[in-house]
Amino acid sequence: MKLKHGIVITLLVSATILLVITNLSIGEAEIPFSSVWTILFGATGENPVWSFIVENRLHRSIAAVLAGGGLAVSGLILQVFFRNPLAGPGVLGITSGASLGVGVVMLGGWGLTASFGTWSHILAGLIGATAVLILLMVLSRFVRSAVTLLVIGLMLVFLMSAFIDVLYLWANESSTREYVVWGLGSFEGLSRANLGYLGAFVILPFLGTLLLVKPLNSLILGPDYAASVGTNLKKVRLLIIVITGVMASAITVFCGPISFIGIAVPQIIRRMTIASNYAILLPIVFIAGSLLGVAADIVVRLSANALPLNTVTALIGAPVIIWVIIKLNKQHATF
Amino acid sequence: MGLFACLWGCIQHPDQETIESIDPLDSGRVELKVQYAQGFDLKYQKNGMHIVTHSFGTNTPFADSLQIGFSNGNEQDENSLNLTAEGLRIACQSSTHLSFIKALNATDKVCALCGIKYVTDKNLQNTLAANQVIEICQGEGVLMEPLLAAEPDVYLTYPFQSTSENANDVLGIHDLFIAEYLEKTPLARLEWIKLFGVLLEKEGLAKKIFDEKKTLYLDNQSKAVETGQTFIMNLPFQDNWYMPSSQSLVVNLIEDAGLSYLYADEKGTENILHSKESVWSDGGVSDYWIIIAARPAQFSMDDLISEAPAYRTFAAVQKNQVIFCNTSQVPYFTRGVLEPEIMLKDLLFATGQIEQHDPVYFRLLQ
Repeated sequence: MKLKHGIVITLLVSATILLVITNLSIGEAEIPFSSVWTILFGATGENPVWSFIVENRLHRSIAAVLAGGGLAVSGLILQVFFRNPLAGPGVLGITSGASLGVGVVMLGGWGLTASFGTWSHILAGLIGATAVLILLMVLSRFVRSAVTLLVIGLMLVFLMSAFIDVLYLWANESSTREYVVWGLGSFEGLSRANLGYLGAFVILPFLGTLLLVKPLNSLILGPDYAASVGTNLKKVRLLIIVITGVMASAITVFCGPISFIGIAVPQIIRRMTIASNYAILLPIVFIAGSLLGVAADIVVRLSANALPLNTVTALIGAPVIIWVIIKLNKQHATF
Repeated sequence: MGLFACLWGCIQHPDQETIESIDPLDSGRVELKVQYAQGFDLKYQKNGMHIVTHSFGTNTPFADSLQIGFSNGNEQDENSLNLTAEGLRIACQSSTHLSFIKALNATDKVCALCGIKYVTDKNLQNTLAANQVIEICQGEGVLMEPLLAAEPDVYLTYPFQSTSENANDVLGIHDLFIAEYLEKTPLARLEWIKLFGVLLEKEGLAKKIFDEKKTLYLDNQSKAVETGQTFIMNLPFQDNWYMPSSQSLVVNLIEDAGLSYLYADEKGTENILHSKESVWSDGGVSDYWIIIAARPAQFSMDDLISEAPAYRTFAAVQKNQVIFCNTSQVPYFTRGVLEPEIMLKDLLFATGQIEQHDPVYFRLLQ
């Protein structure tokens, strides 16, 4: 690891910790910083409800760290695999697939939530996301242009959206409202158990990405080169499906379909670190995604929840994507 | 483009229905007076009557009116509605409108409704199906073609999307803004039954229903004792906790049961937005917590606490003084509008001020 990479990691980790501490300290309930600190270490505050408030702030901070990091890593892997700098769980329709799965449970009803609870959402989201990923993998065999594949991904987004519109026709008002609000994205309100599930579905696949370091490094020069150096492309493809599908669907289920982090963060980090070794890029991108996730949550809270999470991530991510498209255009990429 | 222009120019709208009606006072119909409601007026005239609905207070301004004509050989207003037609046809944008109409035994007059699938009363569902009532909404939007196909004589609608202060009838259908939800007291909202009574030529029944319920409500209200005990309301939605305005109908209803609203000093007619944190921090001291929300049938105190363990610190939870109205199980938003006396009695029973009552809408969460 170069010194430069060490500095970047140190800076990103420090900034993330600083933002998490800020997120724990600010809020409508004015809790002295000293009390926040002692509550975190097990003491009870002056007001008995303070410990619940601090716990709630901690839960949403952890959710932001996990979701931001997971989405960023998913985006990074997909960008390498599809050889497309604009690839990401949102753009390629993976998030929409998970949204459709959740929509089937939330809007379609059929008593699934009553029978299986949160698991019905997780399974439905996972099935939706994986189905879209597999479809993309199949289609990628027939499409050479990375940009064309991106357009196909966007069409899948529209297709999923159309299915969700059909589901609205059967849904009652409260389900519709619940789904619309969920669609705005939020790190708020995760119970300890749900946070545990989210942690498992993000951290385990992230550890799984360590198995992908070598193949991803070889894929930088294209699938033919990767195959020539002994990379088992079928196995890599399966791992990528599982890892990105599980991460993106779990994050979508628990926090809503969060856009732009998956595309913007890998691009920013690539430019910042000029690293091509995925053993370094993967952890850096995860931390940077976490940083952006917590920063976005702070903006949401400072706006008294007037700004939905997806609006904040779009305000940050959309300019980055426009910048990438301009750069692509300069490299004679065609649509 | 020329073809479209030609077709557009060729469309002719039929004249509004002409009037052939009766003098209300000659026909034995009761002349109604508005006592509590602020959102409508009934103006009796020589040749008929004028129903005016309008905003009041700080609400977004709007006004609408419907001229009801009576044929006495006098000149008739072409914008009047003929009430004597055998088959008066009404289109409603709300199932609350339907509740008023049902109370007056005139469901057969309804030809179109928004949200038929949300009608939970099985008997009413069957009646609507038998009468071939047409669905006129998709989501929250009104579909013009089904509305026109239903051929209503009058279309009762909300002023939500009104773009002008004075509504104009569209597409040749008499429309009338119904904004009973803006009223500040339960009796004021209930009094809108008089407007429906006029439309349906059932003024006598409307007056009877209103007077009986008013007497019961005021009788129940007189039993309430102001103890100074406070209450907060409802549940958060993600990080936002909307408390009803201190001037809202539901807050007035609960105050009529002798409780004091914790946020009574906050001004404004709109819902008051608090963060979840601030209610956890400040609202937990409240003696009562009154929740109106949709939850599964057997929703319990444990279920409530499982939504947020912080609720354990709430005084109302510790004292077992959480009063719950489960809108997925009781017709709070529809029939409840016509039964404020029962709601008040429920609250008196839940707060231990009366004995021997079988609660319908509000009950202590177990």
